[in-house]
Amino acid sequence: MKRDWVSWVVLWAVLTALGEAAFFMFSPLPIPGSEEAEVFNWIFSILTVLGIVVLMFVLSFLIVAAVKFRVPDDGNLDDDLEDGPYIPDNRHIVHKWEQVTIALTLFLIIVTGFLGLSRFNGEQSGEMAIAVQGQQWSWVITHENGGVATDELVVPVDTRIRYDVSATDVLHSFWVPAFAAKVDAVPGRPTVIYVTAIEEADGATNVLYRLQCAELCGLGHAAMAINVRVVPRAEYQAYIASLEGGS
Amino acid sequence: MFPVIRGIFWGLLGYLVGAYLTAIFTSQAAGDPLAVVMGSVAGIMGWLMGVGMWESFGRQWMGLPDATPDPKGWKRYFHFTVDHKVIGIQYLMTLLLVFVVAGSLAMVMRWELMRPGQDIMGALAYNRVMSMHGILMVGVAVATMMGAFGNYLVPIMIGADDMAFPRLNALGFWLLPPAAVAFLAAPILGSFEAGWTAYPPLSTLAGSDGTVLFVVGVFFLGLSSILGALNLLTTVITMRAPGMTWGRLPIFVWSAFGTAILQLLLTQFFAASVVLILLDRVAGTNFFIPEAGGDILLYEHMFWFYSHPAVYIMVIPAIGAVLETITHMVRKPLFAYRTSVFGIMMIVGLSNVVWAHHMFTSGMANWLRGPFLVTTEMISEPTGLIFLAAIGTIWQGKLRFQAPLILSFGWIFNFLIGGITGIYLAAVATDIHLHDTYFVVAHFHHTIMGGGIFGLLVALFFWFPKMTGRMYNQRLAKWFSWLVIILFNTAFIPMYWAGVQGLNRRVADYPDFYAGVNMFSSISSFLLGTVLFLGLVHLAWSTKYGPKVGNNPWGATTLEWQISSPPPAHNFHVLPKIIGHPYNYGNPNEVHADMGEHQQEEVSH
Repeated sequence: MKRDWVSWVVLWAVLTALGEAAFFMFSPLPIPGSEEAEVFNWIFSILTVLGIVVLMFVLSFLIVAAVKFRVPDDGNLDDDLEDGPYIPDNRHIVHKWEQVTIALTLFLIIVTGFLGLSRFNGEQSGEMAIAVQGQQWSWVITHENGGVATDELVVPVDTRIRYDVSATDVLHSFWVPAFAAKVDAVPGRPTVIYVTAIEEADGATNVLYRLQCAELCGLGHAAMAINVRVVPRAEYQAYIASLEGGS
Repeated sequence: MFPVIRGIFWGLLGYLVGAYLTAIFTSQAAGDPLAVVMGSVAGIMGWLMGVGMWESFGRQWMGLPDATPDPKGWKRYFHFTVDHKVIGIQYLMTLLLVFVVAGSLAMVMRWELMRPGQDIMGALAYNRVMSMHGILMVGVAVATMMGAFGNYLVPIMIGADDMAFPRLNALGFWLLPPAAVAFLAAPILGSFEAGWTAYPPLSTLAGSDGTVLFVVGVFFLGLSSILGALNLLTTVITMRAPGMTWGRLPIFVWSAFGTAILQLLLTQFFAASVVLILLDRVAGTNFFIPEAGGDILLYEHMFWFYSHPAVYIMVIPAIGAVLETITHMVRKPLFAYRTSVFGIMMIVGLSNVVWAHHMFTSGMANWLRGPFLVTTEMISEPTGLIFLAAIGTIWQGKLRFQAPLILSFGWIFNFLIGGITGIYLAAVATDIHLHDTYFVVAHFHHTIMGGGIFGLLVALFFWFPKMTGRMYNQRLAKWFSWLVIILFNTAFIPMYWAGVQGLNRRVADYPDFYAGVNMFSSISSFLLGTVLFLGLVHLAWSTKYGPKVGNNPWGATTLEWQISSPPPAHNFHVLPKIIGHPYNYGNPNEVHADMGEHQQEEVSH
């Protein structure tokens, strides 16, 4: 019995170490393109580090159990029906388990939940606004100077931008994967999201820089994506001045 | 076979009469939404009456003598039969058939997604196939465990001779085929491409007449679910054998009981949300038409108020079946029985107050994210208790590594992955990126397929000898179990990566960047589909050609294993007396039931 415990704990430690190493070596996370994406990566990493510990706790148990407690199969079902020990309950372990899971849950609620939420929301004000309107199946971007673009979303780097999102026909969803930010475009109900891009980039070379509709909107849903470019502020000013309708 | 054909005849006749009369009165085409609704109402009455409600209910209403037929043998399965075991098998067979259809649709989708660009179908066809796969699989997952195993096992496990309302039980089952037909026929009417969630305004746009039949299908499915739940609750409350106290109920009965509470109290909200869509389509109301003051978020709230608990309707009975199976297969008492019951009931309670975590990006009030984040993460606590029960039971047990136990191990692993990834979606900061991506697709397949359908497989392999009196080939079943576990995970785990890297869901096409991961997923899916299909074929073969086994091949302690396989018509020749806990392994001083075989006491009913 004691040896079973020891094998479990040792295997747990080994698998956890391997899992964490794998997570950091082959990180699935994209390079963050915005302050919001940095928060995403941070919370995602905390959850994964903890999640691997929990996953390996159970996985190592399953492996130890399958190896140590299995009864050899002689092909006959009815014979050899020896019972295991009579352990219907153990209040001590149940209470410990409850304490640990409640503590974990509280940590998740406070740190990855509320702390992450408040950091994601950040300051609910922007240095400039860009209006994004979704319709079947294209995006209409209106910049502050009145310039309208439908072929790409160009935004200045290191600038907190308020996106005013709206839809004319059905539900759409404003999503730039590199920004890790998303809000639905709801007909009859304007929505808002604040994003600060932190890296200059071009969707032509990085597929995560695309303004993709993320809410099923019919036939052209998959193709409802336009290029996103993050450019220096000066370039942005020149760009919007060159747009039709821009003043 | 005759009643089914009669039902189809009267159902079609009813549909045509209802639809054409309405069309004449309203001067519209017979494909008009209102005509379709009225046709469906008349059609379902015709179908139910034709299939057997006339003999079982109708004649009594007319003052005629009851003429419920009592067919024998295989014919029972095509009649309006009231035996709960027959109804359980009817549910199982129907839903496995739907499962194969919906699974084939999944294969078609994976074929299209294997490579970027258009392979075999365009975006419209893809959206339809995706919507159909979604609603059919939701129907399968909602109804199978409760309809098939709840019906078959619960009365036997509590020592009753049948459900409390046998005819209502039959009615509940016969509502199911029309629901499947309504879903399958939806694309004939017109566009049905808004997904199973049917978010307006996409689902209410002109031309989306397929939604009308979708709504009709939801009504039939929902009614069936509510009737089944009502019946099950009444049965467990009133029909337990003498001595079967609440503290001696097998854990599967507890899980079915908890699920039935959710079904009975919440299914109406699904019906209510889609009936508003229907009214917008046919009655000119403006619930979801923003230009006229409607609000789309109202739909999302109402829809998820049912559809999140629906996840637990799919998973809780699977939890019960897996804990039950583990207990018997490792020959140890269920660890912390009372704590597990508490965990199940706490999930039932909490699942009512978490729905808006599906709406973190919907544009609802920002402050609402806080409370729903808290309630959602709180569910990990009772779910943890379920894992504790499983782990504590397996510890030091005598593991017989047959298919049911292997699949249970797979279930634990899958459901754990589903639970852990659920936390990423409960935490708002991560959900905002991951919402509506392949991360979500992978997550809900790990919970609903890895939790729900794997629970179904566990139950299928564990209770197969009880239902048929025969055994499947155990070597093949072991291979099947390992292959399903591995292929299921290789099919879905890569999708987490795709979601994090920005692949949105419900798309027929995607950037080339995601080609590799999709190819890998598709190949795994094809293999998984093949293995699942072959496994079902093997089980079907074994019902006829498998070796005969005794009444209790697993040496289990609960009541269903103490009677013959398959069980006799009224389950027990003598009413059992319950004198102890159901799981008395390793404790020779306690037995679960006195089956009364040595007594001369006759059943009194």
